[in-house]
Amino acid sequence: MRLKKIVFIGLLTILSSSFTKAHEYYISLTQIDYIKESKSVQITMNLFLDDFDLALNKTFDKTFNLNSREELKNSNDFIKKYLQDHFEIKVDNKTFKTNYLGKEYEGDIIYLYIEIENVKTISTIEVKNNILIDFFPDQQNLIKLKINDKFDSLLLTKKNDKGLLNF
Amino acid sequence: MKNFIKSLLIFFLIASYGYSQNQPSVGHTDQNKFRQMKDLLPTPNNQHTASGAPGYEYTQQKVDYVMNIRLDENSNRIYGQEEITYKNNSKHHLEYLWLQLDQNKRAANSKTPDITSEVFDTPMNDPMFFTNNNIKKPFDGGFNIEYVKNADGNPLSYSINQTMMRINLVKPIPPGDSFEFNIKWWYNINNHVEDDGRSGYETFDDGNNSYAIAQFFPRLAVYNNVEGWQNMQFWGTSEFALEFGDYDVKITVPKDHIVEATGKLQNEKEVLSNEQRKRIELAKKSFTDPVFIVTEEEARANEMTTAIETQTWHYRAKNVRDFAFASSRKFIWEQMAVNINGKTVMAVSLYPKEGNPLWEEHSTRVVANTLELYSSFTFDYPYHKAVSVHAAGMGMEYPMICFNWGRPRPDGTYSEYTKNSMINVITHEIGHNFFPMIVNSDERQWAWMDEGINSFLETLAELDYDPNFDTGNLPKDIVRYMAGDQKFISPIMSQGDYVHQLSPNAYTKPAAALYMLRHTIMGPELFDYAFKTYAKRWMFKHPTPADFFRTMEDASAMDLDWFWRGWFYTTDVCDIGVKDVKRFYLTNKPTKKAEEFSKNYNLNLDQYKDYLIFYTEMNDSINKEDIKKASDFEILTYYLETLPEEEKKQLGVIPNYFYQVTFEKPGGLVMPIIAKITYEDGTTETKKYPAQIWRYNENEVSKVIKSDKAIVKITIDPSQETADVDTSNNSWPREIKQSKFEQFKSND
Repeated sequence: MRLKKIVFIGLLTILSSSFTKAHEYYISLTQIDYIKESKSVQITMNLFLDDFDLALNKTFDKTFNLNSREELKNSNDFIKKYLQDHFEIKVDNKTFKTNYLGKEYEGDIIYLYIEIENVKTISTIEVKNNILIDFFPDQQNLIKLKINDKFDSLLLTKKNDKGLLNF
Repeated sequence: MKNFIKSLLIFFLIASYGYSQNQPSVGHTDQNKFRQMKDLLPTPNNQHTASGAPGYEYTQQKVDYVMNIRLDENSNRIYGQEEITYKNNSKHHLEYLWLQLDQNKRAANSKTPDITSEVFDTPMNDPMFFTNNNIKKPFDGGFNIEYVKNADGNPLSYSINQTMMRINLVKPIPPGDSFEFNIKWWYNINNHVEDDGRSGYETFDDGNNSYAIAQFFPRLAVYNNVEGWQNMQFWGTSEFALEFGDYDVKITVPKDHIVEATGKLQNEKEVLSNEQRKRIELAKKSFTDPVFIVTEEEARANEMTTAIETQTWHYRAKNVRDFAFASSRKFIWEQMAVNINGKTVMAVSLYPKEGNPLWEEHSTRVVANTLELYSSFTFDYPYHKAVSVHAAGMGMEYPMICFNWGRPRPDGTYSEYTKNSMINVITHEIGHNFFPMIVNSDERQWAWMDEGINSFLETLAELDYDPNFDTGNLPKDIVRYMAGDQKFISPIMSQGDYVHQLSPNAYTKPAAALYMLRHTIMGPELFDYAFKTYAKRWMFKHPTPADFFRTMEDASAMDLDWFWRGWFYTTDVCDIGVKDVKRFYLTNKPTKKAEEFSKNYNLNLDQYKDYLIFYTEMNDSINKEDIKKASDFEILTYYLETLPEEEKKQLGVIPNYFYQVTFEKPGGLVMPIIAKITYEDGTTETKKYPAQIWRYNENEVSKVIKSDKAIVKITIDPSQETADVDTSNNSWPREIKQSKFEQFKSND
């Protein structure tokens, strides 16, 4: 009997990583701004491009080649899918639909733009973000929020991938 | 007037004296950001002097190795025998010697996995992974020591503590004496693609291996004036500290392998064909294009068959701190001559066909460029060659030879990312020939001293190779790390094994710091002289951080204690902004302030009508038409005209506008203020105030800017030179910046 070989990233290979070069830190930054006038929650997420490319490749078993001439044509469809699975927002205990608007590249960073529409008020917000965490156990997803003229932040990790804040 | 000020001063003195009498406050020690580093640096002595140079009592051990090494391709093992001559140049009697057994990090009983925190979250496995992860015993890649003998052939007592081995000497080695001993060993080579590592083998789809072999022999630990024996364990992160010495190494490999190694090949005639030797001679005269010693076509033919016989490659290297080699029947081999100040050095690349076309396009040229740039900033590269070997996923440096990643896709195409990442790693690892292979700092103790200093020069070399190269080491590139969660940030001056994010900590941050020291704080002229002094002073020696800090100041007359203290000893951030700007104009109408001032002196301003120039802010009592230009004051024009010619020559621009600009500094670092002033006519001017501007008040300072043109905008750090972590306060008038999100949406 021959079985199809499925690749799971072994935890140990990542933990024992001993490269002497390349960025060894895993952090993403997500800025969440609530614009009351337009009832819109504007989300700008920035991630290391090579990490994100690897996560997409492994998740969908395709070669994405982000930010190159050979970039997969419908990469946005997969990014949208990936975000749906790993990024979630609840406002006042209600899950809202997130619209992925698109992406931009800047050096080794990829920016993802996401919007939530028709949010009339926010008194509590719950953010779940476990992007890249499957592949990089040390990944830290830092969330900075500006809602109702107040600032707050969350640091989401493998152990704790969601947080609730009052505004 | 003077008396008036004096009495005012006395009044305030009395007032403040009275105040402090009533409210005794808690005292404090000197916490000024400009206090000298007496509390942080070791007391200088005649080994490491106050100027940062090695002193007349500086000593250094010497260790020579004669080795016979056999690479067994069938079992993936290294067998070795070495004769070590240890020269005790110190003034001390040594009761024992410490050797490093780095491969014991991979021994079955290694404690490195034990200190690694684990979680279990695997949802499922196929049988192969289940077996590998759960059933298979761990790989045993540790050293198997067969014997340790003295020169007479009698066994020497030794004990092994993880990655360190102590030779228990019968009698101490006196100062100035040498000690000879022999070790025989073998170990299983690790597959570096599967389990990482700084050496190992890779197996290709065609069944062939390529070997990148290092830390393959028991090597002496450093004994020096500041650490005694540097025998901190090798846990896998903090790299090596090693002594200089001469190497004579014979490497036996399968006959069809091509080998490169530290040192000069001694038996070319035995191991190379006439054609290959002819091509090497050609390469020595080719300064613009690499010459193939083994072409891709030849390598393709070579890898189709497997030789049963072996042959021995013989190398000698003088004054190196380590030895490494690469071996495979898959290798393409190319060489190019580089002119280093009149001396020819060979830039060499070794790679399997899987590295092409990327490797033939860039590797050797990047090696050449790196040698040239580093030599110009330090000293002429003293060895005869520098070799870049392609090893998948690895970037690791050894004297004259290094292992580098950068593999195109199987169809030969590659992304810009792969290309840049390869240029980046080759520059970095070749650069390590200078730091720490020659300027021999101790990475076990201070990762930044070779990684950070090397990453700084790497940045300059990459920009030299391609001015648009994204080096990732500029001040703007470290903002993200420095602005991050303080829990995961350590000062640069930390030992590498407990640093959370070693890459930005020991590579990017010191590189960015030195870049801004050169470009923004010292200027290239002062920096380059001092930096070169450091490199030359410590060439082939063991420097410490204090030697670097002290030399940079000693050779430049710049007090940089504040810079080292802030950037290297703390995790403080840079954040400087414009807090407030007060605008003053000229008017001939007496202002309230002037009237009040005059009253105190019993002056009647009416008597001075048309004789005085008043300064005013825009307020209710001043109308637009009351605002004058300096040229509107006839009395001033007249005064200037009557000045003697000599004094007229001393005159500058006549100002019309006066701005009191208040700068704030929410960040903990003291840094220069770089303010770009934009005038009404669109012209700009950049003012730079040295960091010492913060010496009395590190939260807020103000400057007065006088100008003939109105200022419309002030921008702090316009070219992102200072790693300012919050730019929202960097401009006046405060810019309401459109968020990235809004920009994206409006472009869309």
